[in-house]
Amino acid sequence: MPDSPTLLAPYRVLDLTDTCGQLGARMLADLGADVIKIEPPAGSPARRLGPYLRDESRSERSLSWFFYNANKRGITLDIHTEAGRGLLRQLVYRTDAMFESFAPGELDALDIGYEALSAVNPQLVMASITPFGPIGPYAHYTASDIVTWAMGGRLVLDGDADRAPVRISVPQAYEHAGAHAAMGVMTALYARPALGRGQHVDVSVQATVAWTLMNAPTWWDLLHENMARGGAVRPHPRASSADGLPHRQIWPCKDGYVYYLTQGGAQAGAAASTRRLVERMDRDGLADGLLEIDWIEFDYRVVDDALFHHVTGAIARFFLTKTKAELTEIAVVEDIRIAPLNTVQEILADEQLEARDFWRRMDHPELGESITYPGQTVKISQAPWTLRRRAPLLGEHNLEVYGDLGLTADDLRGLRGARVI
Amino acid sequence: MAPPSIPSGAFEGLKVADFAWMGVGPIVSMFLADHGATVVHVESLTRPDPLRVGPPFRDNQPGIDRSGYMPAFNANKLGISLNLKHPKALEVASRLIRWADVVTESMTPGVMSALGLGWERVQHINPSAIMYSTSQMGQDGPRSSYSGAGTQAAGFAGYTALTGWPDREPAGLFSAYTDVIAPWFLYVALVAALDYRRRTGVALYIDQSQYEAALSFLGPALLDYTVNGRIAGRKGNDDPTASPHGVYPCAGVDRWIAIAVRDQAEWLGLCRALGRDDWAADEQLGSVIARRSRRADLDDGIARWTAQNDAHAAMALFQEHGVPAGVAQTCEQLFADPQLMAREHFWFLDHAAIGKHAYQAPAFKLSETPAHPARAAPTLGQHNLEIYRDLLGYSEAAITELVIEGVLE
Repeated sequence: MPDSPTLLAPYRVLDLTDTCGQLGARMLADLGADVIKIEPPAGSPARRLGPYLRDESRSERSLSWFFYNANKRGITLDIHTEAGRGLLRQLVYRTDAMFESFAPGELDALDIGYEALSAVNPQLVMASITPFGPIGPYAHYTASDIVTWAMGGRLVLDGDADRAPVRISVPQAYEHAGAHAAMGVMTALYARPALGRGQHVDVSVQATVAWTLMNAPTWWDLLHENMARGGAVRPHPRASSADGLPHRQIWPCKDGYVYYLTQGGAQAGAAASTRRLVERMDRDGLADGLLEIDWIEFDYRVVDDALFHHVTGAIARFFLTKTKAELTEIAVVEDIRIAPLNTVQEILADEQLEARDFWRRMDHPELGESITYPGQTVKISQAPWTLRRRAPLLGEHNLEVYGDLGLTADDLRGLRGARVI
Repeated sequence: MAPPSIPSGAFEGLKVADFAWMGVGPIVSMFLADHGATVVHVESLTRPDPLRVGPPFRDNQPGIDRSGYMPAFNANKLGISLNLKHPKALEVASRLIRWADVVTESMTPGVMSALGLGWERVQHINPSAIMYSTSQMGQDGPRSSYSGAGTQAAGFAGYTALTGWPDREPAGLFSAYTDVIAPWFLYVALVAALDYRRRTGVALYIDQSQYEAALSFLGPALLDYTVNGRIAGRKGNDDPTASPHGVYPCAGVDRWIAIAVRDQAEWLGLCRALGRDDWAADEQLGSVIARRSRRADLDDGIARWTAQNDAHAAMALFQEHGVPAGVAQTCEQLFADPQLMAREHFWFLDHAAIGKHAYQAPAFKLSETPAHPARAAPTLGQHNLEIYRDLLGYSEAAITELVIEGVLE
């Protein structure tokens, strides 16, 4: 049975990212591109990131590696050797795009930066991911996920008011960076025929973090107000100020938490959603006088404090009588904007994902395991998102890939001995 | 033969009929517009984009064209008004679709079909148009009609539960976090589909569930569950691979610095910067695991130092010693950030109602066909005459008719 076509089948991509931006090349691989991960002979540092299969923190057990490098082939190559750089140039000659996350100038110093490689192949699109971009006073700063999350303006926005701001508990900045690099690469590949050549794509992790800020930048720009973190009870912006009525957004329920914003007024559907919640509460005898309230008139920006607390008190009591699953069901059936604060356990059990065939099984024969992976980020019927292969073992495709360049197994043995691959 | 003209934008000549609203849909089409596409953004006064209706308003004066929020996701677009529920709107919308290469929408699943503008109809009107539908949960499945926004989807997708401290309730997540994950996947797929169409002539339909897309930023935690049965929980600012690792108070009100020490070199650098020879000499602090076991102590010592120091000065000092450190910047500080200025990250464009105001350039910068800040976001219906008359070929009399009948509200 023939495979469905894929969107990016004609493209070949080299992935030289380390722990930063690995997701970028994966996004192209997921749509069918032939992506080759290039690692140092000792393996990418990304192989030493947990979590690990059965908590075995050793080679070929990193679940993080498995996830970010699924759909890629893998080869080894030491770019710090002249022979290795020679091999890279040969590979680049037949490559459409390349992702890298070395420090600014590092590849140029080795004569394998964009200038050098585009001379080898003018059609090459190269994405360079750096923490702060290649120019400016911070260009050579050392960064980590939380450092770029902080400098990009996101860190201050989350957390409780009485403690330090927090990040999201799982690193996110490098994922954003990889995704924006993929966007840049696709844009440059699209421009390539008319332009007649490839391009250099400059991605600053800090700038990608700034893209997670939603309306916070415009709050500063128009009104010189900085958004404040507020925890489960967030001070909600009133029309005139970024400080405002404490607006509970996270509510305890019987077995965890749900997200719900008490809203009314002109916002599309908000008033109706609140009215339906109150009607549902009433069916349990818990409406507590809220049925009389005109929710279109109820403007949280100007409403009386006592009334606001009455409303939120009644809602809080109602939520405590229900589980996350029950409240999710109510949300769907009654069309109310309640959302559960799912953990990964609930996500894996979610019937919505099941119905859309979201989860994929991938064999790892050398481990004797079959692992469930998350699936599509987009659904395209005739040229689908696919999960076709597991992440590569170290040097797994050296023979195939270098073989395409005309190297024999003997050649590879020599190169391995010389630590070039 | 004359060489092909160098396009000024990667998507020069591309035509987009943009029925999307709120966050994800418009962000994707905006990046096309930023790179030269002609994007016609369709709105209605009868059902304004929620992002037009909420603050921040210029001078705190509410108004349909006075919020800074909707413009943030609609730079470089032309704007028309069209009441899609009006019986005569279908003909108008069809004309726009016939013109377009790409049709976008982000309504609750079923709504576009009910309006006569679902994928089958779009294909029929224009077989070469690509279409994307982005929604919370996807076009099908038991919860496809769930009408929340990205703040709700972030709850479903696990992010809200993961933000905060292990010893208390979740701390809440600012705004619609899944709205700044889903667009990146949609954009990559859309451009891939454009390329595929160019190569094969086939125009495809993209159905995105923002919930599904968001899960791809949670990959390792999901595998930790499917393989190890571990349920990821809130960790505050802790990180198992680094120590010290956290966010420390600096001088002033609500000023903080993030520090991450991942190896011995960074640890010794931190000790030097803090003047803590005792720590540097302490062999019991020579590994991440060892330091984690004494993190309360270390965090306390670091905080005592940082609390005496300006955050930016502390960052500069730590960086001099090779320590990853970064100020927890506010938006005020972002606008003054020299790195963001060096890459011209903020564009200032003249909006017809609120004057000069800020937009963000794409974070990916192309060397030859970069994004270009051509125009501010449109006021509602700002380009009705241009589009209906010049692009879609309606006579001025016909346009007047449409206005009188309320089709263009």
